[in-house]
Amino acid sequence: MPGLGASALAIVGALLVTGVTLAFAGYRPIEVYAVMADGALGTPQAIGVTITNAIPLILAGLGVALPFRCGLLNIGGEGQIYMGALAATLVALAFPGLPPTIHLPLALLGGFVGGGLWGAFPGWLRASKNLNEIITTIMLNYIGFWIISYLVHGPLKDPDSYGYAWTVRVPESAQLPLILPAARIHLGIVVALIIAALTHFLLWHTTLGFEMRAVGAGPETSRFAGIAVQRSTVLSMLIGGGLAGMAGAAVILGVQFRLSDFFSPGYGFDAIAVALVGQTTPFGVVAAGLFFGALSNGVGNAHRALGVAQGMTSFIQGVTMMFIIASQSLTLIRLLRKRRTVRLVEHAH
Amino acid sequence: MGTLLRMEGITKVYPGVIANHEVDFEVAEGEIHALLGENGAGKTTLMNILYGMTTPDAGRITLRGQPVSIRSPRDATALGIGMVHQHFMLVPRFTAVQSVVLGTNTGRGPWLDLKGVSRRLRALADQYGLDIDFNTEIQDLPLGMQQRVEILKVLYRGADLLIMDEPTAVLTPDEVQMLFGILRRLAEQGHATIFISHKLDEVLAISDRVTVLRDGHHVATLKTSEATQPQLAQLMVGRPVVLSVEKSPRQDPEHRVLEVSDVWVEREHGRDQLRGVSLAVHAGEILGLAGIDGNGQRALLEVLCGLIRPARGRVTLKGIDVTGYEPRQLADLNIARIPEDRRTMGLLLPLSIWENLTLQSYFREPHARWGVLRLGQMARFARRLVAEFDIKAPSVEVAVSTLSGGNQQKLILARELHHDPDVLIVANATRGLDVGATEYTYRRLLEHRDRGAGILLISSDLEEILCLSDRVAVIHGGKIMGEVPSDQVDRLTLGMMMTGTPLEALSKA
Repeated sequence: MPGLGASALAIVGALLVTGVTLAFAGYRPIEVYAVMADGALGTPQAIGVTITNAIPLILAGLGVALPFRCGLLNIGGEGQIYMGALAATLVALAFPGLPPTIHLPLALLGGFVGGGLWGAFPGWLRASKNLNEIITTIMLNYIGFWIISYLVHGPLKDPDSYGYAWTVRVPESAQLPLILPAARIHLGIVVALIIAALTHFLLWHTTLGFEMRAVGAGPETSRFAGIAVQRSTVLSMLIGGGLAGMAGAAVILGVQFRLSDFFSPGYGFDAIAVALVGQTTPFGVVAAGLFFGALSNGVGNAHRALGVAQGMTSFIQGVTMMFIIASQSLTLIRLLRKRRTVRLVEHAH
Repeated sequence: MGTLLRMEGITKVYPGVIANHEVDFEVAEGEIHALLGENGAGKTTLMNILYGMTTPDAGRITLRGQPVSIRSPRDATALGIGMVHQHFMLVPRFTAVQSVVLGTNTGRGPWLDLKGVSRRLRALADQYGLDIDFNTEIQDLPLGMQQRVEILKVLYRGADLLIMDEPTAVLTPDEVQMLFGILRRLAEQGHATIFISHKLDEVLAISDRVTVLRDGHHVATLKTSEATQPQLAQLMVGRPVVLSVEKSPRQDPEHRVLEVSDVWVEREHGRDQLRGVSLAVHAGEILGLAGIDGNGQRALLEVLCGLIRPARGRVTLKGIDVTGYEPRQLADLNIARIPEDRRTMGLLLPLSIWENLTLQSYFREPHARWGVLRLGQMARFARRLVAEFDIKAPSVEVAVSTLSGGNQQKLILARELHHDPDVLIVANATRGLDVGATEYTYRRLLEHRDRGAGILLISSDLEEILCLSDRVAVIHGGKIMGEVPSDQVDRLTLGMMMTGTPLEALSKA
């Protein structure tokens, strides 16, 4: 994957820019980065937190990457995460007696369906009414969030939760078990990796994926070739939303165990960065998800140890994104090339 | 006549490509000088250098005996060099006057003196015989008139050397004649014109001298009066070219493979629709459908590709009523479609060669089984077609966007023709292609005709229609103006039909 080289370069560039900024702010950049690396990867527990952070980022990142391949920008990850979390919680709470081997997959599937429906709706609006999915998915983020907020403050509120607006705890049979208890790593990472592999298979080894990528690469050509463009549009948003929904399910079933209206710190938006840094390939998304998971974990450690602002996570993420978007912008590349040739010519004279 | 412009030893190297290699080029005062070459021969680079859009790596430019350095289009304009681009640089919502004024100073400081400019423009237009409607918005003007606005714009800025980049590409035959009149008038009044083209007949008709470029090299400069069409074609391509093809008599002329009867298509915007079109294509013949772009060709193409259902009428394919068939159902009847716009209708540019070659077959055996692609089979299939159709590419994995126009066209031909279709629907298949690739396309189409396929050739290029067709029909305003055998047709009749005079009206007169 040659694109990932560009991403790595962008990350290095972002770390350099951040380093300069840190130096201006009175920190020693090398020291900060060392503390960050230690916090992200230094101990089994640190690695565990990094991976736990990465799980929803990978799943929601796939939820952005897949529709992107079909030419759609899914900004609605956050809403889909909330709706997926809701559906997973409902399935978890509705069938308390089920054995884990059935209950957990069923709850995860619920997450997929909840998020999927929340993604398929803007997909359908795009396909049939040509409404821009960027706008509709952003709108649906708010609607999704406030539905959850209403539910956890009202009908679904745990009566014994005192002040907290959250649901009762999901039964253990629906929880993602720890697979490495020492590092507190739960089964979600395995789920995320399997889903990433399945997404790769879907996109590059099936006729459905071929159609989605064809539609993304040339909708008019695809129409002439007899591809059902509208079906691909709806389907990619359904699956994309479903993957984001699974991210929400994984957070509730693996970490929080109760649905609230504050469980996501913006995974759905970070997912856009994860997808782009991962060059919208599933394995790239896994790498980018792990990187950003490590980043927020490392910044957390630097914050505690050195007093570095927590916002540094977003800062690095933002600068990385700018580098990547810049590297993908053809006009900019042409501009740079032109400059270089002009300089060559001037040398020649 | 004195020498107006001299370009000497112009060299321009782009990463991996030598666009111009020590090119010499010279234009005399009041001369129409044609610059001839295939796509990628270096014409555009040379002219971009002259117009200041890019700087040469080496070489000298002398204008009126003075060495000049042209670093931007602004410099070029100040030196009296004007360029009329192939794609016009006009604001659709402006009038001609507003378009010409844009970017100039009208002499009243920050205020626009549109009245004064309008007066001067009308005088200028009269002087050069430019027929322009000054009060209508550009978007409502015919393309020929838009081009005259561009010419006026260049003259208004004081150009005495005009660069015309493929100026006839968008014009009707009438408009081409009008343009030639304007160019001659400009020449009489001392303006020199560089006429960039790859259409040989036009070069021979209008220019005083011709310079031929090939692969970035200057090949020859000759007097047009001493040049011949085959000679120029050979200089351009580097080998003898046969564009006027010998056609064998058509076979089995009674067997109708494609029939369109009284097809109506309504469209919201009213521009591109069909109003009772009837056509029949026989096995072993090419029916040319001539017409200026935007007269219903696109709607007809979409009907024949199964993308829109006609409001009325019937389409019959090999005796089967296929009205309202889906694209896939049509493909199953062994028909091939070569759409007019390679880049947006025929290809998936960011995707690879193998993906583009399997676009019609990825979903069926042997390329897929139970919804799972068989990548090995697909790659083998793609490699076979790449070899068979001589597509130049490093591997079948590379993105189609990296291929040249000619190779992109070969890819579409490979995909659509490899299974020997019975019916071909071809729309402007050679638009933007150079002579070599055009010749290749023609040869392939004729091969299939001789094999007994029926071909509907939709084209706005009269040369192409006349060169390939057995019969010619003309479409205008969504109606068929008439149909004539190609050996009994003259350009004037076709031109009249293309601009809306039905054949019956012509034969009565």
